Amino acid sequence: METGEEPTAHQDRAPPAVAAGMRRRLATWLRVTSALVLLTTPVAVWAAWPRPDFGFLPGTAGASLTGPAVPDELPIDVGTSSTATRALTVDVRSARLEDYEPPRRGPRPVGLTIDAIGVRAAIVPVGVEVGSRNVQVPSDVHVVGWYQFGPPPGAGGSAVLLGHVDSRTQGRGVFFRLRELEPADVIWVTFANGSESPFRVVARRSYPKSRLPGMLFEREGPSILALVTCGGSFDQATRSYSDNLVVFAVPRV
Amino acid sequence: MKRARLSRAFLVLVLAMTPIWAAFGAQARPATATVTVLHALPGFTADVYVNGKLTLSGFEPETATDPLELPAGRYRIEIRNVGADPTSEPALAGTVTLKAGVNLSIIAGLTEEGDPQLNVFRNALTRVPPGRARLIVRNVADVASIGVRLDGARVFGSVPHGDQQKAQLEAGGPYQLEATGVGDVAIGAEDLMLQEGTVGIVYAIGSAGQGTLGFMFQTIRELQSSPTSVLTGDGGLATPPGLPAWALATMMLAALGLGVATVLGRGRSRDPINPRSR
Repeated sequence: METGEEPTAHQDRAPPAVAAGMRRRLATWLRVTSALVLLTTPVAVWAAWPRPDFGFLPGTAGASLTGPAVPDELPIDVGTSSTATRALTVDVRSARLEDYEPPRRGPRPVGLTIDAIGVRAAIVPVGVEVGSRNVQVPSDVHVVGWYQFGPPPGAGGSAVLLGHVDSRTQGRGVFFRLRELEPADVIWVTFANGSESPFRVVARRSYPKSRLPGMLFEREGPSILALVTCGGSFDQATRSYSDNLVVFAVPRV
Repeated sequence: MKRARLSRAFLVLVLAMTPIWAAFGAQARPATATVTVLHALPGFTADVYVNGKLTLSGFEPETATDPLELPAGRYRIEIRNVGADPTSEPALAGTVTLKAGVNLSIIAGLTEEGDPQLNVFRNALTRVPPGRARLIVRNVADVASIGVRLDGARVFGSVPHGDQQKAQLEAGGPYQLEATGVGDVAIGAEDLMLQEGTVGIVYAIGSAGQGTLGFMFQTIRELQSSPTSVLTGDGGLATPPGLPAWALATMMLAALGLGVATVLGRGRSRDPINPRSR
C-alpha cells in the first residue's frame, strides 16, 4: 500500500466527475442569470425614466390669448365748431364710492382630485408673500394653493394651482407625482358652491426658477388650468430645486 | 467674392423692407388718448359741450363716463346748465390738450372758495407689484387740505386742494377710509375695496359750507404684475433619475456573477474515464 502520497480522501467526496459536472452547471447557470440581469437592468431603467416635456402650451396653436378687443369706433364725434345740438350717447354711471362694487369672478375652488396620481386635496386661496414677489405657498404640504389674484379655474384666463413637491420637515408633498401625469389624464376641481369641473392634461413643461412664462398669469382669454410645483435638480446647500414643473390642462368638454 | 455679393444682396433686401416695418410700427402706436369725465359739482345737472358740440346732456353730479378713446388734439370743453341755450355763457369752460397714449381724468369740482373748476389729472399707468394695489386720493372739494386714514392708520397727512397723493398697499379690504379737512371737518367714512393690480382713485368732493362733502371713486384696471417665483419644495426627494443606485448595484452583482462563472467554468477538467488524470 502506498504511503500518504495519494490522498485517500477521494473515497469521502463525490466522484470528481460529478463535482466537475456540478461546477459546470453552476457556472452555466451563473453566466445565464448574470447576462440576463445585465441586459434587462438598463431596459428597466429606461422604462422607468420619466417622460420628457410634452404637449403644446394651450393658446399657442393659433388661438389668441388676448381678451375682447377695444372697440375701434369712437363714441364721440368731435368735429370742429358746429351749431348742431344733437346729443350723442356716452355711457355714464354712478361714481359714488359707496356704490362701487369690485367685479365678481365666480366661486372659488375648494377641492382637487387627480385619480391618475392619487391626489385628493383641499384648495386654499393664497396671495403673495408680504414684502416679496413670490406666490404664497400653503404651510401644509398636503394642501393645494390657488393664486387668488388670478381667475378661478374655468372662468377664462390661467388659473394657477400650486403645491409642494416635498419638504424637509414633512416629506412628500401633494404634487410629488405631478411629473407622472400623461396627456388626457383628468383633473377634477370642486368649487365653493358645490359645482365640479373636469379638466384634461395637454402639456407639461419645466422652467428654470424665476423664468415662469408670462402666459401662466394671464387673466383673460381661453381657460387654462396650470398645476405648478418644483422639480429639476436639487441644491443641497440652498435646499432648493432648480426648476418649476408646470402641467397645463384645459376644460374637458 | 460670391459670398460678399450675396451678403450685399441680403443687406439691400433688408433695407428695402425697413419702410414697411416702420409703417407697421407707426400703426401700432395709439393715436388716441383715454379720458374719463367726472362730475363733482353738487346740485348741478349739466350739458357738456366739446368743441362746440353738445356731447353729454343731463350729466348728473357724482356720476362719471366710462373711459373714452379720443383722438389726440385740443378740446374746448364748456359746461352749461342742462337745457341752457348753447350760446349762453357756460358755467365752466376750459381747454384740454390730449396727447396720444395718455390717460386723463377730467373732473368738474370746486375751488377752495366753492366756485366751479375744471381739474385735469394725468393717470400714470405704471404697473403695480403682485399682491398690491395703488391708492390715489385727489382733493377737489372746497377744502384747503385733507388728511386720510385707513383702518385708523394715517395714510396721507395732507392732500392739498387740486392735488393728489398716492400710496401702494396690500390688495384687499374692505378698508375703512376716513378723510378729514383742515379744522377737523369730516369729509366722510366709507368702506374701500382695493382690488389687486388696480389703481383706486378716491376724489374728495363737495362743499364744506353746504354740507355736500363726500367721495367719488374711479378705478383703472389691468395694471397687475406677475409673481416671479413659486417655491414649493425643499425636501430633495424628487431628484431627477441619474442611473439609480439599485440598478448600479444589480449590474455590479451581475458582473461579479459572470466573473465567478468564468472562474468556476475554468476549473480542472476531469476526465470521466480516468479521474486521476491531471
